[in-house]
Amino acid sequence: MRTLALAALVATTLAGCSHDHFRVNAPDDFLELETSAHGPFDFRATSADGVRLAVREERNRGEGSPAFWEQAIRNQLRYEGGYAIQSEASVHAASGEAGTLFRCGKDQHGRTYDYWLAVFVTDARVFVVEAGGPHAQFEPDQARVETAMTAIHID
Amino acid sequence: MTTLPRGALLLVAATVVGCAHADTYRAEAPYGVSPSAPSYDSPPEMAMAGQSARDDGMNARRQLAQNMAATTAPSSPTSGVQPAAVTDASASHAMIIYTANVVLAIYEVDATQRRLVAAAEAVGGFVASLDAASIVLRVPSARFESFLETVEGTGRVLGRSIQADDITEQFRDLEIRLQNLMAMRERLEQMLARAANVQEALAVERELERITVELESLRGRLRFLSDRVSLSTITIQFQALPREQLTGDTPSAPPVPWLQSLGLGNLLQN
Repeated sequence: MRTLALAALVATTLAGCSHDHFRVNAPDDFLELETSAHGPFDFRATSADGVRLAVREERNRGEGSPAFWEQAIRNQLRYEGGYAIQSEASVHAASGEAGTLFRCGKDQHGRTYDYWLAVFVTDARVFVVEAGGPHAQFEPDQARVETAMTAIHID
Repeated sequence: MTTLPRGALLLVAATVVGCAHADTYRAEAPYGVSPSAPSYDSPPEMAMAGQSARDDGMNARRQLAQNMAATTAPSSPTSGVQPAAVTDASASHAMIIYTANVVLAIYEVDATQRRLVAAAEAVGGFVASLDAASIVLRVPSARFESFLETVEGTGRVLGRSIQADDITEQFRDLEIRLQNLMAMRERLEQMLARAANVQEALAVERELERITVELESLRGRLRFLSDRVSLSTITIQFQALPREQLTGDTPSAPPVPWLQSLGLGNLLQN
């Protein structure tokens, strides 16, 4: 019985979490959280230390270009969210779509937070992968988080 | 030389005025037009009589275009028999004063005024007056219609009136009066030279002075009318449209609402 349960866990882990138009793999020791039908996320996971990973899928009404969405997100983070964009990098999803990874930071109430966001755009949809948490907890997970963020497979 | 009594002198003068014919004028240039340095010694005339026309849509604009063509184009040799003696430009051209009043609804009065001033100067016009709510522009008559379109393109037209006053007859009458007075002055000068005594000379001089004053008045009137014909007057009144006021704490909307939910606030929520 124990063997069977372990096999099921491995199978689930290998298959990743499948959604309507994307599949994503959280880092091994992350726990997938429930998503609300009315919430912004289609996938959410957390580490035991409070580092979060989430994916949202939005319709690309008007077929906005990647440049449009990158600029819109840049504006939102910088001017509305108050984030410091520390770097921007070109990345690729596991399924090959080009995207941009924003590495941002924010100080609030005496604490430093990290917030990373990757955006992948297709003609029909915009996929936004977010990760973040207190800097002290996020920093050790950075490499694994980045791997997970770009491991998204867009169908 | 015989001495003429003062009454006889005046009779001669009156006869000269009454009998002088149009073909006696052109003794000297009676007036000049100086668009760049206009001098207004009397208020703008906005005569409603005669052939003044109120704009009533496209027909009025078409009529205006026809009038302007008649004003600016020399008359064709085949268009009719010209009186042989009448050689002045005013005789072969219609003398028409164009004036327009436009009420515009605009968002930014200052910026619009600056644009209109620049547009007027670009066509050889100038600002006659300007205040916070209106501006009066003078533009060459040949550019009147196209400039009016420029004006109307700067805002929403709430009201408009266009007036075309044909002053050809009035202008010609004034010219004839001017030439007659000039002829009379010449005769009086001859009489002054032949004056037999001081009393006669004084009488002639008084009459000469009166004629000179009247001549200057007529010349001023002709200058004014010429200026009004060569430069159209467009008065524009502005009504400022209320612009939405954004306060400092009004949030700027992202292109799509979901962008507002980006960030750690939602990500870290349980």
